[in-house]
Amino acid sequence: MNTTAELKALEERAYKRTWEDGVLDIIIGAGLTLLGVLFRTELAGLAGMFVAVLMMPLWALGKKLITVPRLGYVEFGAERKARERGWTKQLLVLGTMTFVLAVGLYVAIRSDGGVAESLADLRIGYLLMGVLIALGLAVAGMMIGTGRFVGYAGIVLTATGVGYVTGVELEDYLLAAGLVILACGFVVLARFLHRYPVTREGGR
Amino acid sequence: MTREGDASGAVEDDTSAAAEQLVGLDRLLHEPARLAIVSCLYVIEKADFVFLQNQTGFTAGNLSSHVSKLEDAGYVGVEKRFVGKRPQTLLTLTGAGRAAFDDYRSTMRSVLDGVDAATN
Repeated sequence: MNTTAELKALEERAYKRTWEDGVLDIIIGAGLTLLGVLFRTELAGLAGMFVAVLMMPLWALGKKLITVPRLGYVEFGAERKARERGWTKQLLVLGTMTFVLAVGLYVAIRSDGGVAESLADLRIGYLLMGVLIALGLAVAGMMIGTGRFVGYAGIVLTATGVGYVTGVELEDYLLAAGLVILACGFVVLARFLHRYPVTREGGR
Repeated sequence: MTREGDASGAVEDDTSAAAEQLVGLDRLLHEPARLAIVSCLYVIEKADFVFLQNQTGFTAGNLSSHVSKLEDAGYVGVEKRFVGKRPQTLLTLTGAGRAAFDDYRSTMRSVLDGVDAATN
């Protein structure tokens, strides 16, 4: 228990445990699903707003209501915080690129023959968007240290690839990938709730 | 003295040095439950009682009793606050606790190295 490697492993286990709640999985899955639904109903602007504005506050609320009462509250050391900041910067860059691309695609779809003359241009845009989302999920997976998110990246990439080859619309494969991730998130959450019942402080 | 005699003398020196170091170990930290608590707090900055309970798997009473001993020794800092209506006890490893754990680790490492040297 006392070697440096073992202490590092102990810290990593504790950190990973804080991500075993499925909250982020559900929010990402719901975000992608909603994005698909709203693209389909031509309310992509609302979808972008949801993803950009509501994701972080919803995640923080989920942590406060679900995770902390069960798992407890923890703050990690300076080294971990610095690593998190580095990963977060990468996620922000990827998020911004995805957002800009989504807005560009939305404008292209809505313009009547102006911006998007060729459907093939849009398809490359869709493909790029899927790749960016998958990259974001993979970076999140590396930050958290769990393979689950790398798996989600694989799901999005597969859906995007299949969509590109078969000519399925962007909203359909976003919806499909989002629903799969959402279902996985609920399974992870159920496991977490079963494993960690609400614990009130006792004995002190 | 023969070469064999030299070797057995060296082994005796190693083991007696190891024994001396063991006698000087911090007994407060040498208890497995407290060692688990301190190890856990060593790798994080701050945690509440519930998190520590989940990490160590101890009952609330058991954890509380060990934390009290560590707090009395000045190894663990305890801060109580309310989050909404719920009480929360935040625990941190103090500078003294960190130094004591570092000492403990280096003593144990040197004892084990001594034992390894004596047996190989």
